[in-house]
Amino acid sequence: MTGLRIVTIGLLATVQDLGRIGHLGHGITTGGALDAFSLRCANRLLGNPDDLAGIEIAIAGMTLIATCNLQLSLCGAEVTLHIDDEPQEMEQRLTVTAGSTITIGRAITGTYSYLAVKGGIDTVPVLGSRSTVVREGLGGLNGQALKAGDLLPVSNHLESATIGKKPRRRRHENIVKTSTQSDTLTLRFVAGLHYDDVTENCRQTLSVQNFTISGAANRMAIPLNGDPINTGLTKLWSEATCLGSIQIPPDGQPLVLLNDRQTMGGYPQLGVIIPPDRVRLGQARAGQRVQLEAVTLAAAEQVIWLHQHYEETHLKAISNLENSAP
Amino acid sequence: MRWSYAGLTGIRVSHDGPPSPAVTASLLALRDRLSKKWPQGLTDCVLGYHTLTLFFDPEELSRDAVVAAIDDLDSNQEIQPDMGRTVELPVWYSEESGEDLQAVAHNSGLSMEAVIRLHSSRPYNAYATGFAPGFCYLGDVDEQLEIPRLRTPRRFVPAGSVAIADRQTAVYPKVSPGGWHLLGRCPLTLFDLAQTPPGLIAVGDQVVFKPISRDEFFSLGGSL
Repeated sequence: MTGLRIVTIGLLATVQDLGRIGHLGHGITTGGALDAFSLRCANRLLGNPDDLAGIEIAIAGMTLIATCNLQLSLCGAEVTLHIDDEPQEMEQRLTVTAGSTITIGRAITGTYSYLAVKGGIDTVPVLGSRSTVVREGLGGLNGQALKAGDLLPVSNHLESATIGKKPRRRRHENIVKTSTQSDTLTLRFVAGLHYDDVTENCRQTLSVQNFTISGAANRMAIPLNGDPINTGLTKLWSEATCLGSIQIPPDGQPLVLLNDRQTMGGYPQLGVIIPPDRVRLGQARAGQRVQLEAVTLAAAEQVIWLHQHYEETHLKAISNLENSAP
Repeated sequence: MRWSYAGLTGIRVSHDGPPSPAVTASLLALRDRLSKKWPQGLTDCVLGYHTLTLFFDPEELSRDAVVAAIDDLDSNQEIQPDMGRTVELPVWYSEESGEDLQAVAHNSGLSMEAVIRLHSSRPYNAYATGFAPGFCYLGDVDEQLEIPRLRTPRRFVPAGSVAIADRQTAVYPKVSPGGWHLLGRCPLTLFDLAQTPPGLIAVGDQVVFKPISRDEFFSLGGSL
């Protein structure tokens, strides 16, 4: 078996694709790349289908060795990238030879970067997805986060004929917009399951203040620190959670539920962050100021439509560029 | 029954009354009818204690279509709920296999034997699956056994642990953190992805716990 050998892990790196869809009813969460667009860009650069698995790297980088010739690309949070000590740019297709060392540095801005390989990471799919959900022990390599010494299989490595070409310098400008620390990140949300059950005063406390992202953020949820939200709702029956739900636990500090969330929850869910803003939140760092802004379903749909249009345009541009390559 | 939005791609149907086996059965009937109607469009149907949340693929199905179907069913059709199967789960109740058995007895002012008898003497409705794959919320536990969750959850609850909290009971399918009180251990595999469906218990099932001995526990494949 050949592919990518993990040498070091900075903080957390997991195999992710676009998620395990359709099993919430069995208590199995979706998982999947927190910034799916960046993974899709990385796949498109290699001519891969969008849903092939890559490696999601959180903040502190990693080092790998290619055990065969392969092509790779790196998108998402801005990081430094070296192939055998030679600096390389992100957002391009790179050819590496067997034995090469791939060094990904600490994120300069943002949190999650995505390393894709031509043909995709070929770990065993579970219920149609290779996404790792560590809490459930599903996907990836034996349901675990990657660790030093792991060997990740790559499904179709390259024939030797394609080796030796200089990497083509084709940078795709502004694939990812990452907000800077000094901005206040506005997170738009639509009314959630219990929005109608709380007082106007409670809704106000959600929207009028600035929160900061807690250091306890992970792939399950991002806690926001601020003045406590008092929902007055105590005894709720457990029910389905939504991706992006603003959940209010008893301490009043909101939790925004992400891809690895538990499928059911018993705390009030006051809103659901719209998908583009949820991804921005996922890419933001601890200490980032955020503000929550209630929007109507119609307004949310307009924003989402425009955002999808923007993403699709970029993805098409990448595909066209790569297909027109000599 | 009424509905509301659950984010941009979800509709949540809820019952006003308290959760009951009849509520679960009617939500299940609604789920089955709609998932048959839109096998592609509905990506997930999640039952809560008194809710059914339907998540749809907006490329395949519009929100208005889902809402219209729910309104239509609600006003025009009497859903005939189908009561679920009965699933019997063997449990070795003991202090050795259930760390909190004595504390629960103490809390309720009953003997450990009485706790076991009360816990195993009634069928439980499987209300919902969540928390972890295959973790099924069962109820209602006899009010004499009602007990709040542990103040500090355990980091590791052994697989197969049979536990109670408030008036709920459950079996932990695999090792996980947990804040419920442990009464005993079930030797069966509760969740196996190689099986269809993967869970031994499905929402809507009636679950009965049958006390077994230590020897029976091991002969049924249990391990400590």
